[in-house]
Amino acid sequence: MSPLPAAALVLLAAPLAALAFGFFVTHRVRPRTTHLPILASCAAVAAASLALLGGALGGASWSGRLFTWISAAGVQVHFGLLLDPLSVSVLSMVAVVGFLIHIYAVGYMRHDAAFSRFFLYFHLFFFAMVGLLTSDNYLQLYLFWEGVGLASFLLIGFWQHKPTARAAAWKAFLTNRVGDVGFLLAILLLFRWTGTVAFADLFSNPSLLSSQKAFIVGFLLFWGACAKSAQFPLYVWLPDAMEGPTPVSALMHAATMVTAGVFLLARSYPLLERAPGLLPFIALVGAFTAVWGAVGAFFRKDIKRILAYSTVSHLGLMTLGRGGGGVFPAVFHLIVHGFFKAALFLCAGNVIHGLHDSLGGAPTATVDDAGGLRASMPMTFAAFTLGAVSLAGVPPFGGFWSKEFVLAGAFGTPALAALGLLTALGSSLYIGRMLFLTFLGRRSWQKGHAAHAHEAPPVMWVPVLLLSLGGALAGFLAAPLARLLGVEPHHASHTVTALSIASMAAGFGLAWAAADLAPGGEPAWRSRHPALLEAVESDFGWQPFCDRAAGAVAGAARFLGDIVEGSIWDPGTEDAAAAFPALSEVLGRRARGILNDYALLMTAGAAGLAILVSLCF
Amino acid sequence: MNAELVAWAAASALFSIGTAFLLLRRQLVAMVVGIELMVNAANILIVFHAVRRADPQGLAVALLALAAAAAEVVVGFALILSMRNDENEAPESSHLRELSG
Amino acid sequence: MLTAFALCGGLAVLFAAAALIQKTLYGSAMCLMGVLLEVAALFVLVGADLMGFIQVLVYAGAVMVLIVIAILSAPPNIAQRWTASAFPKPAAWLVPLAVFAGLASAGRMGGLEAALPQAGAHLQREMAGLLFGPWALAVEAVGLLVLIASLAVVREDA
Repeated sequence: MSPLPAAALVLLAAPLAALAFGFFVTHRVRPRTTHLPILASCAAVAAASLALLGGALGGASWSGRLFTWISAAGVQVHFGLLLDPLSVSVLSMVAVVGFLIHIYAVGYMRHDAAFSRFFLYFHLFFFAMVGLLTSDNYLQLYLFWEGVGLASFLLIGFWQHKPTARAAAWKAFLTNRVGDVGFLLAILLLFRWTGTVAFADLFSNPSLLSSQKAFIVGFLLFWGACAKSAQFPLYVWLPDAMEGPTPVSALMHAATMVTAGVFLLARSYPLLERAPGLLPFIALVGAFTAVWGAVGAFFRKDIKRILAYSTVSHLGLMTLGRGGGGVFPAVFHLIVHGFFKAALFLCAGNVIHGLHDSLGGAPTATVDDAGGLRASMPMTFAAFTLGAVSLAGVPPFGGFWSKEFVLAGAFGTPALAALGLLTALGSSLYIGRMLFLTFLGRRSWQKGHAAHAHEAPPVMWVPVLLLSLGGALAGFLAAPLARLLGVEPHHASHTVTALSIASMAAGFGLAWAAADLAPGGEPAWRSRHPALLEAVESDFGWQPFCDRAAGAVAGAARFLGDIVEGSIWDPGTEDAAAAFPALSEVLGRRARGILNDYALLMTAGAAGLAILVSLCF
Repeated sequence: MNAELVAWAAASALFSIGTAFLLLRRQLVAMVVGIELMVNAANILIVFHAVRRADPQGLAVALLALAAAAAEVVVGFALILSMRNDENEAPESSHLRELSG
Repeated sequence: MLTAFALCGGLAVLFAAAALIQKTLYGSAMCLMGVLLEVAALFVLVGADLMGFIQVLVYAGAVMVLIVIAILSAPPNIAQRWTASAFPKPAAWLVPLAVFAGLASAGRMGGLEAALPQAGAHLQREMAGLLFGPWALAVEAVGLLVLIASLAVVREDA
């Protein structure tokens, strides 16, 4: 590992400088210009990361220690950067996608009063994400992990006047906290069992952890990743996180922040490998989540929520890839997904922007509001189609290749294979439905605001198009990435490829059918199965269950606070305090100022003391 | 018959009787008398053991203690005699009850 | 000698007990004088005759005069002997008994010499030498104390 080049320091220094300048200068003086230093910082970070990528492709990797963070008895933690192929490749995607979305946000948030605050929060997130990707030990990663969670909270609840946004922000933060407990426990156990949390020390010396301990630590890390990357039990915050502005949804909850969990698992791969049975378990959870998310996405009407469930599903795919075939499939899908999911979200943002007047200024739209937008929003339509085919896995676009690698890894186990193919079917199903309903001809039950919609300004559609092109062409990244990560990509057998293409095509066909049926009114199947719809709306009861669980915890806290503290503890301590004046009252009546009494007490005390002393010696 | 035992017994008895004066008698003068008894009891023991060890320092201590106790009696009585009461009673232990000022 | 010693000790205790239960202050004072004289006798019996002399001079003499004058100067009305203590009387009586028990048991530690010690010929001379020599400062301090005490009898309006 070579020492850090200057480009590495730019990665952290540029965002810090931009944030400081933005907060102390432009936010106070000229809020409308806060985005300028921030965009400059994004550009610098993107340039630096691409430069580092170039170096990494040539075989270089860097690490360096910046300063000593904690130095106490037996505990040493340093603040440092680790720029190995894994972090450099993910960092490049994050930097490029982040830069484009920052540009998009300039257009999207133009009319918002809190423009300046938005950019400060947004760039805080960006800084924390970069820090997370370049950390060289678990504790530092945890610091930035929490930073990303904080930024998520601030941005989901950005429109503070909306009670739904505030509730969603809380939900996101608290659910992530539940996962962070696992992460923190893992760190503490690592300290206890090995005395170090630095990646270099842990992974180069496998004998530090026995395989049972590695299982426990790995499972706890996975629990943390479950919350951040929205895997089955702890994904409940992601759909509600759509309350935030669309650039937030695009950058954080599609491309970068939610992939932090997958990144964590990729980083910890040497540790997870040594735990017996952990990787298959992870793969199973991922596969289950993938199907669960796909089901949720198909039945939803809100365009952002469809994409949110789709993100859950694809994160599941990444986790499946993690468990199945090593580091490469998951990371490749992470990078490709980042591009096309961001593009899809931004297209949704364009649609919302375009239908702004018809929606009455609402921040989100349903497929019923749209319909036939192909004519009025051509650039968005093009970008969305590119993103959609990438997501569905149509060859030769990017998503096809990444899905192929994931499925190749999954085909070792029949159950995983079935779930993987089901997810492929589901992906094309829901995205096809969304494409057909939103952009192609208007259906009769849609309100049909197409005539009033207008295309987004160039500052908004250019980044989108670039992102979708990136997603589409990402297939070419496979070989370089594999070479970078030092693995031989495991190509799927021809049967697997054929099966995945078949399921994708079937999905599109079914989507066409579902979108086209019932020329008269609501799709017939919707009115025929209201119970089913209700069940799916609440995620088969999981969302209400989580709400109830959180409510129970809050109720317990309230019980402790109001009842235990209010009715038992406080009066008890007050009574104990009131006992003393009462005691002095009683004793006071006995003291009448007679010298003999005092002489008696003195003598008795002295005699007692003398006896005690003589007993002791 | 053990000389030292006699000395100890006498001294202890005198000391405890002096304590009894202090704790049980009402008049302040009587309480001062009790203090005197206590000092004398201590002196008996000091002198006895000084002579036993042939230590002149012990005797010197006894002498100085005697002088100091006499001075203390003077001061005590001066204070007691300056207490005047409306009922014209001898100063009692219950007369000093209030802080003045 | 030992019997005399024991006799003087016993008399001293008797006088003290008598002093405790006297009804008048004057009676207590007279019994106190008896105690002081017996103590002087104890000093003489162990051979510290200088100490005995000073005891008679200072205590049985000067301090007794002081006490008698104080008693005579005080108003004559003596209501009661015993204190109006808030504690129950048995408890108050118990403390002196406890003190006695504690002291007596402390005295049993270590070997008890049987014979009556006698002061050597030069012991008191050495004492005098000590008082006028290394301990002169202490003597002066006590003298100062006595002087200050004597100021106590100066009347305020004098």
